[in-house]
Amino acid sequence: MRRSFTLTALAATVALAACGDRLDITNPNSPSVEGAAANPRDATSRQIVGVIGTFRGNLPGAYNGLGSYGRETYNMTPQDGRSVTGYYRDWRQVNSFGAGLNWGARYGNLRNIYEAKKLVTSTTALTATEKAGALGVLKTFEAVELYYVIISRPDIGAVAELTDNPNEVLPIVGRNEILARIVSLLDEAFTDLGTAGTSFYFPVALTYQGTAALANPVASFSAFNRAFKARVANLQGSLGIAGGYAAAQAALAQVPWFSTSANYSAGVYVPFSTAAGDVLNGISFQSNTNLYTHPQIYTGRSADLRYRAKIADGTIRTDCVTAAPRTLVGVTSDYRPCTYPTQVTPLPVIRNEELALIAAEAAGYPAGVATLTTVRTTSGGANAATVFPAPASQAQFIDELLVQRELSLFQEGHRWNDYRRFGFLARLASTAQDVAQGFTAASSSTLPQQECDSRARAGNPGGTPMGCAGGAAIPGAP
Amino acid sequence: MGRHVVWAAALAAVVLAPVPALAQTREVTGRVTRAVGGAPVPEASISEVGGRGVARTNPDGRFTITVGAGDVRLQVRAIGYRRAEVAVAGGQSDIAITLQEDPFKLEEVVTTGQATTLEKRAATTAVASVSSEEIVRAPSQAVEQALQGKVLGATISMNSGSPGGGGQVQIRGVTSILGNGQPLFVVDGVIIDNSQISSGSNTVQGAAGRTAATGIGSSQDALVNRLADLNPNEIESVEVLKSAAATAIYGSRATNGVVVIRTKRGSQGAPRFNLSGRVGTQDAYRLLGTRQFETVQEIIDLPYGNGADGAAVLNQLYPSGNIPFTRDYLQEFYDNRTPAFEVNANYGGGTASTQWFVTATQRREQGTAPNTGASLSTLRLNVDQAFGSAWRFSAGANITRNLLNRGLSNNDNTCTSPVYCFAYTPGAVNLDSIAPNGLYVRNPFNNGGVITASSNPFETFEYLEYSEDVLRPNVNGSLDYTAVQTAKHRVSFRLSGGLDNVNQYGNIFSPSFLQYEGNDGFFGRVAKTNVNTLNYNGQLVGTWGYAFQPGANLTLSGGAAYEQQRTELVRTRARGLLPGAEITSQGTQDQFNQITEFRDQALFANAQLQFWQERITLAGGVRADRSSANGDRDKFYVFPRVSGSVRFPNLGSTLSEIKLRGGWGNTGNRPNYGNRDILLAAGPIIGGSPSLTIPGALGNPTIKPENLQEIEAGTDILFANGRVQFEGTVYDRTITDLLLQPATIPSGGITNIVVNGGKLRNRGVELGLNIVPVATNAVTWNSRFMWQRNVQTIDSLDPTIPRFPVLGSFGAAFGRNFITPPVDVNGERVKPRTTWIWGNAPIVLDANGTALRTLPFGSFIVPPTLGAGETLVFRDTVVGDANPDFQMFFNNSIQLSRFTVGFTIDWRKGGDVVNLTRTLWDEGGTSRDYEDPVESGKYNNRGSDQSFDFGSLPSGYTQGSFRYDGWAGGSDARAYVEDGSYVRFRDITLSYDAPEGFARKFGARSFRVNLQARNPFVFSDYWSFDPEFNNFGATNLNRFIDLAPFPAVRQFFLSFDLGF
Repeated sequence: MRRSFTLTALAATVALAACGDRLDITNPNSPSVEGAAANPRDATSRQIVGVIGTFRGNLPGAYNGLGSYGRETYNMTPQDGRSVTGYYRDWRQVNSFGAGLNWGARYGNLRNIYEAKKLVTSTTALTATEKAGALGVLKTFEAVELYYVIISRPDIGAVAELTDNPNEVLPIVGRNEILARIVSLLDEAFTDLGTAGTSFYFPVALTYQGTAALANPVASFSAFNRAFKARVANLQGSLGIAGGYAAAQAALAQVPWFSTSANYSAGVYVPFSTAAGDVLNGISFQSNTNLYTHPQIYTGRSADLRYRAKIADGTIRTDCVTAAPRTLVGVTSDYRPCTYPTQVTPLPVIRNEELALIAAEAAGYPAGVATLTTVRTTSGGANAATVFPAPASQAQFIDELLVQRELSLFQEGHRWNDYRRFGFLARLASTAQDVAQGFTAASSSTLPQQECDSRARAGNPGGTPMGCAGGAAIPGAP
Repeated sequence: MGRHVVWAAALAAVVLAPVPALAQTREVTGRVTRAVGGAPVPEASISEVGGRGVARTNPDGRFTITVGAGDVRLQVRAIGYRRAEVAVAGGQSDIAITLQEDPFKLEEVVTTGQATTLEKRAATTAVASVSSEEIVRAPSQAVEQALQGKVLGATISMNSGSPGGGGQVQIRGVTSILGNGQPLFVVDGVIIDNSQISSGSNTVQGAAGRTAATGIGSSQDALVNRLADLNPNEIESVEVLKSAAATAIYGSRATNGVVVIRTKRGSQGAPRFNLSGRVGTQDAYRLLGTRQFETVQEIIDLPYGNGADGAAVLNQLYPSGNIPFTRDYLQEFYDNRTPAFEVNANYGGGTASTQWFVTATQRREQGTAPNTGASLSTLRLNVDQAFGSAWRFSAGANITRNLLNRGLSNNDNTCTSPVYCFAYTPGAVNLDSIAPNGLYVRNPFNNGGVITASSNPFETFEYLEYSEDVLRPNVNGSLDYTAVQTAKHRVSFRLSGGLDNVNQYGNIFSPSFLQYEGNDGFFGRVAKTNVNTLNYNGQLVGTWGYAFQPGANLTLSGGAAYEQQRTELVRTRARGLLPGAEITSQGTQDQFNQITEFRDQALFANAQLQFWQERITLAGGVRADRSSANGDRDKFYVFPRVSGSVRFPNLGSTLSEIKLRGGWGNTGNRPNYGNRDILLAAGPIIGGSPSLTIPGALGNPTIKPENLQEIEAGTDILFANGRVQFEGTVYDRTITDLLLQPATIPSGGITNIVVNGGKLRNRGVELGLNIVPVATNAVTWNSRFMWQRNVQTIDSLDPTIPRFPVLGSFGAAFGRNFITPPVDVNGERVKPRTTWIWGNAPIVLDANGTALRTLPFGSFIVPPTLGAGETLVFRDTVVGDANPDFQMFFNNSIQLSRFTVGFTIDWRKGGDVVNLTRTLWDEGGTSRDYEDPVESGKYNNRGSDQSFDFGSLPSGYTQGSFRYDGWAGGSDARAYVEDGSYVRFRDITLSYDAPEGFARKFGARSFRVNLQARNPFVFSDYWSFDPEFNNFGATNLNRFIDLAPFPAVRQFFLSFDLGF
């Protein structure tokens, strides 16, 4: 009997010993850290593609959300009124549909950028020129991501820089500090790009339309960097930050495709495609049937060529026909937008029409009036919508600028920021049907609940963020 | 594993034991009768102890057996009776044997170890068992359905009325938030696959995002768990191990309980052939009805009835502007009455050394929707072979083909799920008709007419091809060797194992001309899903049994086990198909490929001691597991268990026997696949370039199994001469090291991390009362009441883990389960329940932002007067509890002469359900009670227990508009939280056993006719089909979401059983 037990014990031991290393199996479903370490050159190249791809993936949602906050569009998703009320009424709620717009998703890409920068800096598999190219692109996108974070919540502020620990509760710093960091990132990147030769070792999947396609990829990207710098510096200028407008004008001068009078569609775009694995333009007329134009955009402007190109009122754009008005949570819109007709229509990141408007704004009254008029007549045609055909003061000039920007840059993520930076949030909240539903205009998109909770759990180092429970209320307009 | 095979071969190679020579024989005749009443016992099996003779009684209870020449002992067994052993003297040739009934199956054995069992009478833990008779009482879509209302301690629910099954078994509550939540199903020693994998219908329905390759399938695709492939006719018995003191023999896969299923095997005696045929029909019931529309204007005024085409079509159809009657699309659609059928044949028999059993079944179940159904074909062969007295070999092989055509149901964004689509389609157009252009009439509503999300389900179900075809071979085998067999000692070894291979092939093809096609820019699509799962397990056990005194024995066993499960999933989709093409190479392709694999090893040892005339039983054991899923793959996690029982038998006639039992056990639930791995992620493809990104969830290389500890105590009491049995059990289980995937701080740039942290606690009571009210020759009545209640709380969460909603819900607008640390309720700190439904509700805050009070439903319509500084917000709060107050089952079997009646009643009290189906119908303005008045400012939504008084309500509100507007775009989730109580008959059967003479006319031995019904009656105030349905299929939590499911069905069958 003892022999029998010995036999069992022996058999069991032999069986397990034989199988001991069988448990050591790898996970074949995802790329691995070890795999990336084995070929850092390829890994960094794919990481940069990942950064651009993630940026592209976030852009339609960003334009959509900014469009709701900025009264460009209603997202009238049937069966879910929260897609309207989240931005229009309940924007202070940390669990509303608008909460956390351009927050977690942007920091997700900032984490991608952080890790890619780390690998690019540390690896020996890249030449100095290649490293400069990679860092120039990564830092530019770091700035672009931060820009979207801060324009979505200028009153709250943002986290400026990540660390190795993704769980760390990092300080939230104010708007001006973030804008300064964006500018310095763009300038560093521009310097890096200056030593990056004429080509990148990785693909840059942006589309340069019209004159924005320059002689080589590095030059094209450098021009994008400068155009974006012009946008950010212009924003600083409008916020009263010293030197902002001058810096914007200086940056514009460094954009070879900048023109105040022509090539308005020239610029940098993100592409979409129906190819396998690729994504589609999520705010196109074809793919998003729930997006409706806010009456502030379409009322009284039907003669403007920009209206006629972008509003699907059934009379002008034969490729975009809105079947019927839609009502949700008590508000009605008659037309869908047709800014992006098909699901593969590229989305502009920045284009010359904006640069021309920046030039006008940075020049101010009266110097900028001519440029503003050029944009209006070139883009809006003879019957362009105006407030003051000939602005007679800086105040009138700004009013006129806002109208031209809202039509020229409709659905490009600007209107909310524009009205806010000039102190006109209340105008966004003025539409009668919105007022009847208790809609108000937010000044900032609140942080998502998760951010508030995580910070509260850590004892809110640096103070309770605005909008989180126990923090100051986010200001809005009635 | 290769070594295991070598061992098996080595052991098998020595199977050459000599067969003993035949001794002199004689014949003994006899009769077996019932102890009470003296009725003959047919089909009893008689065997000679230690000999080879076997016999079976005829309908008169008589038998003839060939036995050895000297004094012999006969063992007699019959289903429902205690076994008996009688001595037959050398000269005796005729014997009368009486059998005591065993209505409570106390002689049944229960599993206590890898190779050890105990009689139920002495069991140390509460065990639920279900016999084959109860399982096949009425035909079922899947085994779970047959078990509903029959297992004390289990909550079993089906996910929809779709043909082919899809259900869930939860034993003693939820024991995991994110880990596996399903019990382990062990069929003849093989751990079988019970996963649920989509066959790709999301590519049409678009319930989840479908732009990426991962969006081809979704968890909302009315999934079938693979238990559906098991043929209930093959099952001999189902034993449900609930307590950790019992399940710990399965170590780190056992926190959710273990369901041990044994299939039918051959027995000694002449071969018997049985044939049964069933034919029946199904009926969609509790359909939703529809609002009656009277004028065209009413429809045009609906939010989704005013499409340009809608108005034009209506004005053409109804020039007068009046609508004479409203179509009930659900009635028209779910109207397939094609008969369902089932044929089952089995053939079994054997000698003392060889027994075999073959079962074959063909079942074709019809769905109530057009072109839906499920067809199951199975063949099983079980063989047992003894080689001499020392060796015994058992094997089973089974092959199943399960072909499902379930149609589309559940959540949807393309108007292809009928219950969803009809919610937005007023019944004013005959959708089941062909337009002059030869196509089905287009659905003009919900902005129909242009390329949007509208569609005609009649057309869709006519032309869409959607099938899930499963071919599943499964084999098992065991080899037993008895090394020592003396009066006191028995030493044996068992090598056993088997494999289960599932090949699931899903196909969905949607032709380009269907109305919804093109709404994502592509016309025509096809998706193919291939799933190959291979599970196998093997173990070697040695056992020493030592009978050291009469009525006292010790059993020790030990051994090792190896288990492996691997699933590879390949999905391919093509959209924008070329004309006429139906394969994935003919359009824009997306592919998805995923492998999951687990490998587990275990060492175990068990001890079992009985003494004091077997009145005291003690059992204990330990199992050490390691797994490829754990962070540390070399580490063994140890799971011990102890339990005991003490019986006080023969106490008298009123109180016959009392047993007290108790146990403690420790089991585990291993991490999910990939939890341990720190990986990068495949990022988006842009410009044709694949990319690398940081994953949303960060793996954890120190992840370990969840740990469950349970204390159970109970008693089994026999009363009234053994005619009444009471069973009571209380348990308290604590689960620590919960596998959680908490959200990290969003500004850190990743979404989740995987950790062990947090503690759940389940406490419950299970009561059973088994009664034999009548037991005479003419009438036997067995009755069984079961009552269960389980309450689950989250006792703690690691301080680093924020509260988080459980995945798989529709957010705060409709309610979801929340995992949260203790919360303050009315100023008191309470441990939250996992089953609480958290949703938005209007709350008044004071100037400091502190919540003052929750307002009644309707506060978004009739805004309350607020005090100075107060603000009204909506906020996540507890709006319901999905946990029933209790569940009660009532089982009966009454035999009256040749008639038998059996039925199961299931009563669930409480348990809230979120009725999204009703939201859809309210939003579409089509719900049946939409226009009912809201009486005198009061609104009563959830049965009789809640009503809200508003004083003055703005005029014009009806039930439907009040509910929907009160919901306020999701700001008050309470609008659609409903009480899910029900009382229902799960099954009813009425059988008639024809006289033998009648059976003989067919050349048969027996003939039985049955009328059977499944779910014939449901009594519930619940508004939608069935409160047990769930949109997300089998999920640990969030199991209360009713969203446009395939409607409930009841089935009626006539069946004939012939025995030859």
